[in-house]
Amino acid sequence: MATPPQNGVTSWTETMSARERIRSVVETLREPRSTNWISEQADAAWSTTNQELQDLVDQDRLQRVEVGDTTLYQPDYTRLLFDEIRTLIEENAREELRSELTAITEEIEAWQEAYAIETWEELEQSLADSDLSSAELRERRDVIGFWHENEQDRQLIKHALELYSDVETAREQMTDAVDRATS
Amino acid sequence: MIFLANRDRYTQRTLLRETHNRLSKQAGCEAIRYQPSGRRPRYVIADIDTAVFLGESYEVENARLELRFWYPVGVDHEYYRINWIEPPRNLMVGFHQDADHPDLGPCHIQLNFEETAVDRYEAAFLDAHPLTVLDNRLQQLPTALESIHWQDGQPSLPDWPM
Repeated sequence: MATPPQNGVTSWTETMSARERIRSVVETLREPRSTNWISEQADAAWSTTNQELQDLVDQDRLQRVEVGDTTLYQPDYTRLLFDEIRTLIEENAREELRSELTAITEEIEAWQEAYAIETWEELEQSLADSDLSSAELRERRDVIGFWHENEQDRQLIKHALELYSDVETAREQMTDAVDRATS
Repeated sequence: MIFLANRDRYTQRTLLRETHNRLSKQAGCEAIRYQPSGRRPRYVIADIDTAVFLGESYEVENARLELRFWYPVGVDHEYYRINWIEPPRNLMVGFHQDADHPDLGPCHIQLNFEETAVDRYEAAFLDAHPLTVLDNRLQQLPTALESIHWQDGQPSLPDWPM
């Protein structure tokens, strides 16, 4: 790859520590990977990578997978799911989550009307239509992706709303306990 | 009921947050945000102070970066679009790894001017983690911008592939 001229674009090796880069890489893995692979991607020393992976395993953020003689690592996807739900609850009012559900529904309804279909699978089938221009194909592929993401987000936001009251109550109990301990 | 189907979406959401985090540490990136919302992230967008971002003066003062990573069903690598957009000149240059131009391989660089693609070349497929890919592509952007050639008010990328 050509070396770029001197410019203001910094590499993430300049702005993030090796441990931060390792954590970023490993928490966004789609498949189990080895220490070597992760250290190479994060541009971090093998020993630093190995230590950080062990720490993450100890914190239950990472799962170790033995494949033959090889040890691979993958995120704890259950934990990632609950982290997503927790972030949605902590960063959004209940009403904002409800509004997002409405926005998702409206967007899907607009696609249903625009393409005269009910599901994204039907839109996917339409890609075989030889009359479509490359621009139309691209647009439809994009909509299929967005639609798919919308359906998954809707499920995630529904989970967040279902757990919202319980999380609020747990947080209040925690605050009360701290107040009692410090008064 | 909570289930673990479609885990790619929350891996993608985590990736977009890491992308947001990456841009927040880059000089010249301002007003970093999600589209359509942080509750439902698809794109990470940043307004660019071009002189600060590129480390030298540039033809237009402000531009925009639009980044999207996603995992289509049945494809074993991520798709992405890393677009540099200049509204004042109606110009866009971007690295696209998607299904749009299989004749160019899995990844291509594209130059758009006034809503039309004027140049498109194969770009190397980087068999790497998306965050490593992002770092590489951001490093390549200044080179791509420098290689835009203007003649009679029309841009092109004559020096690509590099």
